[in-house]
Formats: sequence, C-alpha cells, structure tokens
Amino acid sequence: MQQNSVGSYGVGKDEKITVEMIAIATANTCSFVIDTASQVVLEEPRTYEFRVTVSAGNTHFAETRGAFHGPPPSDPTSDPRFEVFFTGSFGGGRFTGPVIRRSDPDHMCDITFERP
Amino acid sequence: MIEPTKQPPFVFQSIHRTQWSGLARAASSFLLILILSSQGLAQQATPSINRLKEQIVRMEQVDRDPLLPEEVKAINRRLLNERQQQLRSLLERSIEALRKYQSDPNSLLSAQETEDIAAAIAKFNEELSQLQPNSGAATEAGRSESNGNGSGAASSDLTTQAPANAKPPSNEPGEGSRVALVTPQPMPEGANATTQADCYSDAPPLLVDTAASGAFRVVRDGAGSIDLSLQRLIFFTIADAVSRAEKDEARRDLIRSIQIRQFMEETARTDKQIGASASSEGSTSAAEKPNFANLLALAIEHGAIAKEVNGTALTLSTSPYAILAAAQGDTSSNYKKYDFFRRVGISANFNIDDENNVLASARRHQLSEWSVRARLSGDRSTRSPEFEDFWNREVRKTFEQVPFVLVNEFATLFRNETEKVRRQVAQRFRQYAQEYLTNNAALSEEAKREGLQREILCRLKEEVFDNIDRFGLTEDDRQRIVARTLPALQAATQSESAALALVDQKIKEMSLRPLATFAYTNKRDPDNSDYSLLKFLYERKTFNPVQLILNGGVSFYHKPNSALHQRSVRDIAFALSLEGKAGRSPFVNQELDNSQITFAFTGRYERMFENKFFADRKADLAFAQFRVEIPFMTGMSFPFSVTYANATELIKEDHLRANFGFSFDADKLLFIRSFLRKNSLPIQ
Repeated sequence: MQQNSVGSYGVGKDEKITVEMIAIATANTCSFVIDTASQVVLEEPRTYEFRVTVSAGNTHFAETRGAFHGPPPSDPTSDPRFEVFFTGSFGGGRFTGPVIRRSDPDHMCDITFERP
Repeated sequence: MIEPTKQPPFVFQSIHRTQWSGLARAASSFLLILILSSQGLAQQATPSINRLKEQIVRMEQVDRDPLLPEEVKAINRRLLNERQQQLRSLLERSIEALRKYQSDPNSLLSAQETEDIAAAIAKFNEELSQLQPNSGAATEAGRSESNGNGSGAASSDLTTQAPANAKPPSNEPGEGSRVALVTPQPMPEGANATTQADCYSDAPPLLVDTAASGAFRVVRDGAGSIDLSLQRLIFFTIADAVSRAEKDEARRDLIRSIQIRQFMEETARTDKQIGASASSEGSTSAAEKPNFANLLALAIEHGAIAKEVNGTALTLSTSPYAILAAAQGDTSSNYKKYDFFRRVGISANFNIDDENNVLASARRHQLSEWSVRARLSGDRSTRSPEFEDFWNREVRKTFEQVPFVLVNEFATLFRNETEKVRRQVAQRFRQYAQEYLTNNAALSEEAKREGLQREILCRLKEEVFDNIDRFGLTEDDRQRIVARTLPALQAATQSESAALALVDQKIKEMSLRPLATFAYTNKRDPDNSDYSLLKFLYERKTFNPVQLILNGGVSFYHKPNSALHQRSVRDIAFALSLEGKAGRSPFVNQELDNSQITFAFTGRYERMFENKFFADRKADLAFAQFRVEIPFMTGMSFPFSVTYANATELIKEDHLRANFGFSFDADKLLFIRSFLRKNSLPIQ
C-alpha cells in the first residue's frame, strides 16, 4: 500500500486493508463504508478490514463519516475528532488518513484505493 | 392588519376619493374588489396550494397594472404578501408531512410510490424556492406604507419578515441540553456555502456546499486534502449535467433539493456546580448541583449566604479523569476504561486576598474548603456505552445509508475508461489546488477559502460539466443517476431526519434521568473549629423547563470545643431548589455559544445545634432565595441573588440580602476558543 494523498491510496491485487477509526473526545459513532465486502474486526477502536477485489486500473471507493454528540471536550487543545489510519497487508506502513473534526464544515471524507 | 370583513368598504372609500376613471381602471378595480371579497371568505378556511397560487397570480397582475392608483396597489401588495406567506407555510407543511409519510417505518409504499413522493417533495421544494420572501412587490409596499400611506403596524409586518428558510435560534427551554442536533455545522465565513462562482452560478446547493468544504480543508491542510471531497464534487457535477438533460421536471430538479446534514449536537449544560458550596464564604448558591466540571472550573463569587462575614472566594475543581486524559488521550477507549475516575470530582475553595490576581490566592493557607464528590448515578452522556449501544442498534444503518448510496454509484460509474478520465481530472484538481495556494499565499485564510471555492466550482464547470461527454457515459448511466441514485440519495438524507429524531429522543430521555451525588467537604474555619460535611445531592427534571434539586447533609466537628457548646454533630441542613432556564443569553457574542439564562427559587433549612445555648443566636435557620445567572461572554456569567434569612449562624436577626458574582467555565470557553482558533476565525 502506498499513500498518494491523505484521501488516495495505491493498493495491490488481493491486498488486505485495515482501517482504524479512533474517536477522541467524542463517542465512537463513526463509520467506514466501501463498495466491496468489509467487516468490523474490532469495536474499540472501530476497525474494519476489506480485501482489494477490483481489477487493474480500477478503484475501490469509500467514505468515512463521523457523528458528534455530547459535551465540550475534556482536552482543551483539540476539538472532538475521528482519526483514521490505513494499513495494507503488502507493507508500506501505517498511514495517517483524514481527521474528521467536529469543527469541520463537513463530517464525511472521500477515500479511494486505486489499483495502478 | 385589516380584518377581512372591513376590506370592501375601505376599498370603496379609496376608489371614490381618488376619482379615477377609464375602462381599464374600472375593470382593474372590479377585479381587485372581487379578489378582496373572495379573500375574505378564503381566509376563513384553509386555502389549497392551487387556490393560493391562483390568487397570487391575479394579485400580481393587479400590481403590474400601471393605471391603478398607488393606494390600491399598496393594499393589493400587502394582501399579496400575506398570500405568499400562506403559500410558503402551506408548502413547508406539505413537504414535512410528505417526508414523515415517506420515512414511516411501517409504510407499505412500493418503490414507484416512494419515487412519486420524492418527486412531489422536489416539486414543492422548487415552488418554495421560487417564492422570494421579500419580493419586489412586498418590499415596495413596505416602502410606500412607511412613507405615510399606510399604518405603521402594516409597514412593520411587511418589513420584518424573515426568509422562508431562516429560523431564529431555538430558545425552547426543553431543549436546553442540546442546541442544534440536526443543524448543519455552522459554515466558517470563508467557506460560506452561499459563495457562488460566476462561471457556475447555477450550481446545485449540494455542490456549492461540498466545494466550500473542500476549499476549507485545502486551505487548512494542503492541496492533497482536495481528495477528501473530490469524488463527490465530480459526481455531483456529473449528476447536475445529466439532470439538466432530463425531460421529467421532478427528476430534473431533484439534485437541487438534496441536502446532506451533519450529525452533531452542541451542548448548553447548566447542571454543573461551578461556584463554592452554599455554606462557604462568597457563595451565591443556596443549593448545590450534583454534577461537576470535567476539566477545570473556576468561579469567583462575591457575597455570602450562610455566613455573616462577606468574603471573596475562588473555587477550583477538576476530575481525576482529566489528568489521565491529558496523559493518555481522551479516546473513546480510555473514556470507557477509566469510568470510575470520571465519577469522581475534586474541588478546592480559596479565600482571595488579591482580586487582581486570583490564582495567586490558591495557596494552602488560603484554602477554606476542599471537597470530593462521587457520582452515584450512571453516565448520562452520549459517550456512555448505553448511548453507543443505542447508536449501533438504532441509528448506524441509517447513518451509513448516504455513504452507501454514494460509494455504490461511484463504483458503478467510474469503471475502466470512465475511471481513467476521473483519475486524470482528479490529478488536475490536485494541481489546481496547489497552484491556487502558491499563487495566493499572501491572501488571508478567509479570502483563500472563498477564492478557492470559486476556483473549484469554475474548474468543475470547465472540466466536468462542459465536458461531460469525455466521461463516456452510457444512456444506462444517465438513467441510473437520475432515476435511481439521486432519488435513493434523497431518500437516504430524508430518512436521517427520523434517525436524528430518535437520537434527540434518546438524549432527552437520558438527560431526564435523576442525578445523585455523594459529597464530602472539609471546611477550615480559622475563627472556629474545622468541620466536615457529608451531603447527598440529587437532581431530577420535573415539569418542563424546571428541574428539582434536593440537598441534604450533616456536618461534624473534627475537634468539638465544649467551651463553645460544640458537640460532634455541628448541624443538619436541607435545601430544595426549583431551577429553570429562560432561553439563550442575549449578551453572549459567539454564535456557537448557547449559554442559557438560568433562574432558581430555593428554600434552605439548617439546624445549628450549638446556637440554642446562645441568646443572641437562632438554632433554626431558614433561607429563601431567588437567583438568576446571566451569561455575558463565552464561559463567563453574572450570578445575582436576593436572599431572605431569618438569621445567620452568628446573629439572631432577619435580613434581606443581595449577592452578586462572576462565574467562569473553562470547559465552555476553551472549547469555543479552540474551535475558532482551528478555523482561523476571529476570537471575540
């Protein structure tokens, strides 16, 4: 797996991708939705796995979305947020993806997993 | 406003006085009389949408008649304005009713019927958008009447109308614990969703909003973050282009009626005890609230209730969880792991000797009391496992529906050659974003966001809308987008309303649960003996918007002084308070801040056992208090109370006393400042 940008990743055939969504100063009310079969492998932090099934030159499209409820945060230096991380089974490391902040005008992020 | 039964005589009188003549004028006046007469009847029953539209058309004809005198036109315009308001209201009610009908989980509607309802909603929305709230006629009428040709009241009616979609901030007391659950996140100024690019001035609102969000992220995080909005930007532009070629009017306009909301709640809590306890010097509270600040609360209060001596006090309070969260992060995992530490609150109250530097007074020798509180009731917050279970069970599926519709459409649409074009376009957008940032480095953040939003819209028009053919869409693609994907997207966004209502209901239900706290307070009294207080604090909602707070406690001397007739038990005390909210404070200057004006009626009884041995003191002490707290800046408020007491602990004399103070809530202030700083918005 390689990172093209914060929302775009290069992936290989049949690579297994792990997506972690860490809720900070907010409830664990976030989701990762992708156009292929995926499963939640851990509830805390919410972690998804899916396998790359598209053919060369095509893309898996995904959206991460967060919901914010509750009182102001305990930590004054940051507002409530969901931090997203991606790891591919073919190596490359754990990539820092988007951060969905309560203060953002939009709580949804487009993600693409592209096969060269 | 003129009563319907008075309209015809008034109109006749106007006509005679102006002595206007001519066939056209007579015909117009006859038409106007007919309209006005029929409206008198129409106003007595609820008119239909079609009936109102007919009336509006006829009134607009009257308004355009150059031969009619201004007096007649002024009346006509006012009535026209009323009809427009009625139509707007009727359309809004119809849309709401259709949405409820559509989202009814017990509905047996077929796919076609659901689509028909979606089309009807889109049609009503379109009609609603065509109704300009302050149309030229209405505004002109307001002008002419304010010039002395009409009554002041009528003029006021016309000139103070809010736009159809503008709602005043909710001051419903029952909604005090939440402000804007379903309201989209307030758009920072620079990312103003109303910023339209001249080169794509008719872009759908959904696209304009997404461009604003994309520009916001790029300016804050760099060019690469355009990717986080780019698939939606490209798709919404394609959908707009495809929709415009659609012959079916409802389908053609569907994309303009879709709005993706944010799932967010803002809070305006009033259940935290920020100031000192009722018995401490300088307190303005006669009853204590059972909740406590999570992070840090500081209150400086001036005055006294249960003491003869006036004092100035500083209260600092926190929770052990705040310390753990600072070290390990306030993650959802830690929140659950350290549940016990969130149940505990600690606070210290200091006597202040330098009011200009209050924190310098937080010294051991100035400590007047410290306390530990343990919350006995469960977590009522939305971070509780209970709320998350509810979310997973009842809401998550609906919450994922909009992303689900989008990713499935993207996956179907962007395949092979189309995907190749999408990647090329995406690559160019990254370049555009980078070039924009490089070429406009000197601009303010706000100007950059606004400029980049326009740039994105213009580039979408140029790269996608005007070159839709390069994507090689098939007829199936076009039909799928307008006939299936957009209706599904609209249905998904609408079903969120029902889910949000469920969330709202759950939050309300949780907030209505009683809150019970056990408190231990260690009091240091330099003029007397030190003592400890054990208290039980209880709060529950009663009738909206009032809640009941009960305190009961007993205090013990550490070392009773027999010379002062002291025994182990110092006193027992009970307090009962009815607290309510009077709406958002008009003095807070931040739009995000929904701090409420609160009021309380409190009664307190205390039995001071040693006082029965002193002739100049009373053993039974009673207080009655009215207290109001008015937030005047973010995180700061002005508490004021008037108290009647039959005596004090030291003097047998009834008195009426006014106390005032200054309260500071760091949680609230730091949250809002943090939000503004992160968004490069001015901190007021």
